[in-house]
Amino acid sequence: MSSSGAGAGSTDSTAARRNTKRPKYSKFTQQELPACKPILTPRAVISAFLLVSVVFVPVGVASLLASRKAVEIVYRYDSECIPKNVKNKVAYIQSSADKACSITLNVTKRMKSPIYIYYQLDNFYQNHRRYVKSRSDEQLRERSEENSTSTCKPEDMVNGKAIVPCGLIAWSLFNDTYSFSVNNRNLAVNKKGISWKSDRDHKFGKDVFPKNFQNSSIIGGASLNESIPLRDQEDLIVWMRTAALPTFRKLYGKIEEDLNEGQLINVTLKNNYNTYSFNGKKKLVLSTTTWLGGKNDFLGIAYLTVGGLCFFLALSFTVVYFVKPRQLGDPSYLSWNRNPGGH
Amino acid sequence: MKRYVYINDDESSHDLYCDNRISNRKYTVLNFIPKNLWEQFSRFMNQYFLLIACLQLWSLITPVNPASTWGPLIFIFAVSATKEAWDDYHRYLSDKKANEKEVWVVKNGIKKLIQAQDIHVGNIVWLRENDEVPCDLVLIGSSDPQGLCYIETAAMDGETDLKTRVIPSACMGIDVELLHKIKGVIECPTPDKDIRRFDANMRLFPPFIDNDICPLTIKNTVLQSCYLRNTEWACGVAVYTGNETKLGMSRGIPEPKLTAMDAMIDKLTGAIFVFQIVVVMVLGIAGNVWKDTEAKKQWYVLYPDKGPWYELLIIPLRFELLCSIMIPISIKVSLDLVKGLYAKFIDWDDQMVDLETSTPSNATNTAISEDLGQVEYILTDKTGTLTENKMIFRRCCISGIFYGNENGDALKDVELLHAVSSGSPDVVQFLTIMAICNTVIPTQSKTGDILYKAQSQDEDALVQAAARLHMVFFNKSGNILEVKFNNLILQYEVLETLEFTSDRKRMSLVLKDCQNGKILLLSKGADEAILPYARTGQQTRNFVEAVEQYAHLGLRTLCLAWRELREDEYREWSLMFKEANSTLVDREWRVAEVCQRIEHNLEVLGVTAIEDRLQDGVPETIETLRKAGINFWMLTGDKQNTAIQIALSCNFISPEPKGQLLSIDGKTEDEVRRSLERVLLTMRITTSEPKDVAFVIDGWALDFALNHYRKAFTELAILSRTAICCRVTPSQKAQLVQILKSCDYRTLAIGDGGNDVRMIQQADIGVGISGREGLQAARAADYSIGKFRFLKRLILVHGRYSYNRTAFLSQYSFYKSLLICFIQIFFSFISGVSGTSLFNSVSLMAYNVFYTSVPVLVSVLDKDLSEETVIQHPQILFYCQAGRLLNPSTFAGWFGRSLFHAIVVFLISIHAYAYDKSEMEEVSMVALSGCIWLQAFVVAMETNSFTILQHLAIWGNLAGFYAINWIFSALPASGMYTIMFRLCRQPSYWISIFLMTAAGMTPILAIKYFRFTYRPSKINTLQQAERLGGPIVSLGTIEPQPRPLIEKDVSTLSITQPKIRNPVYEPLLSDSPNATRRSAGTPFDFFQSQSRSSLPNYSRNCKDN
Repeated sequence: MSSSGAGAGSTDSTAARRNTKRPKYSKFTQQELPACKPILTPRAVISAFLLVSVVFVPVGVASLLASRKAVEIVYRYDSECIPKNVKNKVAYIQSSADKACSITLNVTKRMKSPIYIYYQLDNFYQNHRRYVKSRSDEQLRERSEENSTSTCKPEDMVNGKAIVPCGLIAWSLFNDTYSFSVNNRNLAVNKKGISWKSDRDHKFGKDVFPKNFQNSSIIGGASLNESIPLRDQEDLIVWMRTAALPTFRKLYGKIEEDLNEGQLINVTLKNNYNTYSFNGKKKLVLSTTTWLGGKNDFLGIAYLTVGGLCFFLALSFTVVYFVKPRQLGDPSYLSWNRNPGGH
Repeated sequence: MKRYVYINDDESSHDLYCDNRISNRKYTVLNFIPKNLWEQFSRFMNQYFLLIACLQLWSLITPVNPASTWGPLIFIFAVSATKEAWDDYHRYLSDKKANEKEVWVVKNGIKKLIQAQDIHVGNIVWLRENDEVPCDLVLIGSSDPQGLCYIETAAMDGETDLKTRVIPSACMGIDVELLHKIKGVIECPTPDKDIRRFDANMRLFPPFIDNDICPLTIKNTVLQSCYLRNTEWACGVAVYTGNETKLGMSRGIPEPKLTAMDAMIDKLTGAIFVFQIVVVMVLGIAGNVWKDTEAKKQWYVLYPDKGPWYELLIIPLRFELLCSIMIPISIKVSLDLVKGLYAKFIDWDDQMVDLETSTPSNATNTAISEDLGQVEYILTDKTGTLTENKMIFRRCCISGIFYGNENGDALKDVELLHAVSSGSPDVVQFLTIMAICNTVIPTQSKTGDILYKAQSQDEDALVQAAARLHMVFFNKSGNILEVKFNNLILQYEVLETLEFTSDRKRMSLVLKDCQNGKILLLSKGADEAILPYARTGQQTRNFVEAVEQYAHLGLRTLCLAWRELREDEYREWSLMFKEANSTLVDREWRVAEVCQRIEHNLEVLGVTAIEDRLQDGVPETIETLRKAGINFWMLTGDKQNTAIQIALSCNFISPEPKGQLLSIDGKTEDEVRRSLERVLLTMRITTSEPKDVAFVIDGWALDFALNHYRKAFTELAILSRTAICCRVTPSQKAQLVQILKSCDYRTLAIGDGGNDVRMIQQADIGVGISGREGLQAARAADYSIGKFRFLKRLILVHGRYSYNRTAFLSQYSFYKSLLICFIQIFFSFISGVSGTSLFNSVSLMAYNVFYTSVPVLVSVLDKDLSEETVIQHPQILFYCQAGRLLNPSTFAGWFGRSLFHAIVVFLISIHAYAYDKSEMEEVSMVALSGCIWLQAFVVAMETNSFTILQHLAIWGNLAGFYAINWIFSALPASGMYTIMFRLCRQPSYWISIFLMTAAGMTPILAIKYFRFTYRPSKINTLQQAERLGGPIVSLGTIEPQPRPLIEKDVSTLSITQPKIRNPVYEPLLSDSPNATRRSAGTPFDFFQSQSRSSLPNYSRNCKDN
């Protein structure tokens, strides 16, 4: 956009302005504030589009490269960790049988530490209204607020005693566990610091301990060690940061050593969590990160698309401008200048 | 039902009838809150918001904190209630002033000064000259020996001339002292609001008069709010008091005026409401289906097997609450705010200050500025509005000799001065008539100067001019008039006054010359009322020529004549006159007839010509506004010729051959009908020709047209762009406004006098000129300006800008509400259709209250075109008149834009923040940031001129958004603790935001550029011309606006006649005209078979009259 003609400044003389009953004169009251009045000239618009494409294409390329640099191993294990002979998956997962399962991951590309371990759930509505509201931040923060469980229904009380932590979110805590080994050597999984520091410091009290948790008739997900304060229950803290989408990943831990291409990782997992009743998928994800985060091509592709579109628009407007030039502000377009019989 | 009023009886009626306390208040202290709330809740929007707010109290369904609706709601209600309370307090104060005014009332036989509110029915009230009448009275006494008194009724019916009232015959001749003791009974109807009717009887008790029943009419009453004039004192019995007076019964708080834009906004709100209901129903059903099929499997949601009975309603109600932000609660507050500012801009405007009197313009009604930009018809008064209403005697013709033709001022004409000093008998007689044949009352000020109190400006001008020519009318005591001519004092005794009426069009005095005892008849009046009665044998051709010549100069003419009466002739006639004056039926007609018998055989002396100068800039203003597509009607009480001349001189109508003036006249119903048909036919034929056709009608014919041929007249009103209505009454003026309004035209009435008040109140916009005839019109009007020429600026600058700004502001308000609502709707599809809100309560409230309302408020400073360009190209007003900037199709554009932006924001936020980043608070803030950035750019793109304030508001608001969110992110207690800090550190956040902005704005910029360059509207073309500094076409090259093309085929015309007065060809891209209007009426079949008689053209018309 070009700014042409700044200011419709007052040209009137201020000589005879001062008069008793007359309104006070100022540029604001007279609506005469100096103004810049840009219009959409072809040059301005075409340069704007060119500028956008010039900026967006490189950013898009950089984003794509970053996304490509990130290495990601995704392994879906929910169906294969059910024994073949089991007909009723839901009954199996709810039974108390040993649900250990072992899978092998193939490192396709060298992964530099830290490697983040996520579990991914599909078709799991952490954003469901009934679910997302069923928590009590006061209770999590303060020991004295133990009984403020009114927002936690239906998982608020058991046998007349308040549940800590209450609510559906905590109750449905994810309880699959993973252990990793390479060449029969155990890979240490660091589970410290996987939650947000601000949550640990301010949202989950260090003197709040789990109480009456998973004591009701239906058992949801994981149980909690009643001797560890909530601020140190990092799996719970991660879980309670509800996801906005029905497909989400939650951090499980970090592997703090590099993995080389071609290495095979044996994962021994306990397939405890019930996603079978609603056909949810469970996936194990190992991923490295870059400046842009994990592997996600969306931003790169979108930038290239928008950049390309702008370039195309700039090009076509230029062509149209040269093929069919049009004088701006041509008075002959004012139809009242035309012959009245013209229409 | 009858009411019996016992005169001077303090006890009997106290409890029966109310006292004289006037109350215009709407509320009392006790009922204020319930009544005000009730009134506010009778509006649909408020009911809606209250319902939403109440539903939010139910925590099961509310998606957000109830405070987010209750806060703004209470604020809005408090603002409206405060305004109402303030207005009502002022009404209370003015009532109190009227109630506590002191009046003289007879109590227990003694005259006492009491407060007006303590007057009771039956009390005798004494009034002195210039007192305001405190309640409705039946006269029983007056200072006038004949029992007359004069009242001014302007406050009631807008007529400024004095009216006579007379005491009932039964009270005639009662001694002043005895009036205190009078006793009697008045039998009168229960209070009504008819100010022209009072059918009652009075019976006085002995000892005054034997038990005769004396009939009373409205002539025997003086009504509340009138003023007693020219009468030393009068007294009367209170019959109606307080709010039961005739005025009180007809009083009412005027209906608040609603602008066309408000109506359109209401309509669009209704449409959005329907859309919302549909969305809620669809989502509600989908939600319940999902719940029954899917949610039961999602064990972690723990849906109970059996819910309460209202279970099916829960999800739809949740969505109703979620979608309630679709209708922006802030729009009313924002609109009130900017409308207040529009009005302030009018008050402040330095170019609309009347330099002569230093009166600035004033917008009394702050709510209707947009309507100024949509005016289609202007109905204007003539005298005082177009003209200065400063009557100056300019020329005269005495006995065939023209004076004042050389220098345009007869008072400086040496020949006339010479003739005066030489005492030429004709000239002296002429001056005498000028000086005394009138109702002027001379008074002497303390310094010895003579001041004239005249009801008519013309008479004032004549008396003043006569005084300048040494014929000084200096005293009037009783019936004796004293005139000083060259130090010679002449005395005349008035024998009879033959009053001016609009039918007679002349007035006469019969007087006795005290010098020689001769009885003279002096007459003055319109040429058609004097010249035909000239003495046989007198050549009147000279005078006809003089009248014609003066009329062509736009001067008001009066003919002066006299004759000497024989003693017996006078005596004989005098008896008839007295008899006629005391008849009860048809008195006016009888009196006129008797007057006729003496006003003949006149010796015509000459013609006076009085100039009423046009105000500065009137022709230019009318020309400019007519180019802007505004039609002008002139409604005047003046006579036809003068009106036509003024109309010609101020570009109102064009002279032959460009213009054609058709006349509707006739004395009988049939003549009027035929005339009307003829004119209508010509109008239809000539609509396609580029010719200015106007019609002229007088009050008499108008009466028939309005009462019997309303349909035909309405069609004529639609066809004709210009009309002149002469000799119309205040109520006819109002009726004409009503006709145009009924055809769905936006009307503006402008006037300056009391007789314009009704028209001003009736019209969509009333403009008063704070002029010479007092401030009545200016007080009743929505806008008051000092001079007619300011109308141009008022409409083209203020009206147009207001319209444009409100059009943007209102649509933008919907855009931003829809934007965030669409995102919520999309989100519900990925949250199990359960009605989860993506945004938290704080964000939602702040979005409406801060983030999006501040930038748009500075759009009140936006100017699409500079004032100079608009004034040069007034045709551009068409966009406002046709409602091109706010109509369903432009609204659809904004709707589409918000849908598109919502899709962009939603898709980018959920894809860029997928998987491990899909934390609820973060995604919500990313989406919210996207909305804020987009709306900042949308405002920026729709702004035409950036002042420093706009930059501050738009970009400052964006910075403010981050500041507010950082503050919230720093509070550990808030839900979004640290969120904004985390986001701002992530490159992916900024990359996503820029992506949303670019993806959202690129297509809009491309479309806007394409339209701007290849399908430009006239506004765009002028913007380009103005800003590229190209040659802006000067006014001279613009062709006169073509006459509207209505329909070539006359026969189909009347069926559904859309209001097509579209002078601008416009490609229907987005701003399609919403110009289809209601049909003007049903077919006028009785006009189908008629002769195509040739029509009298304009010049002939002039002579015919």
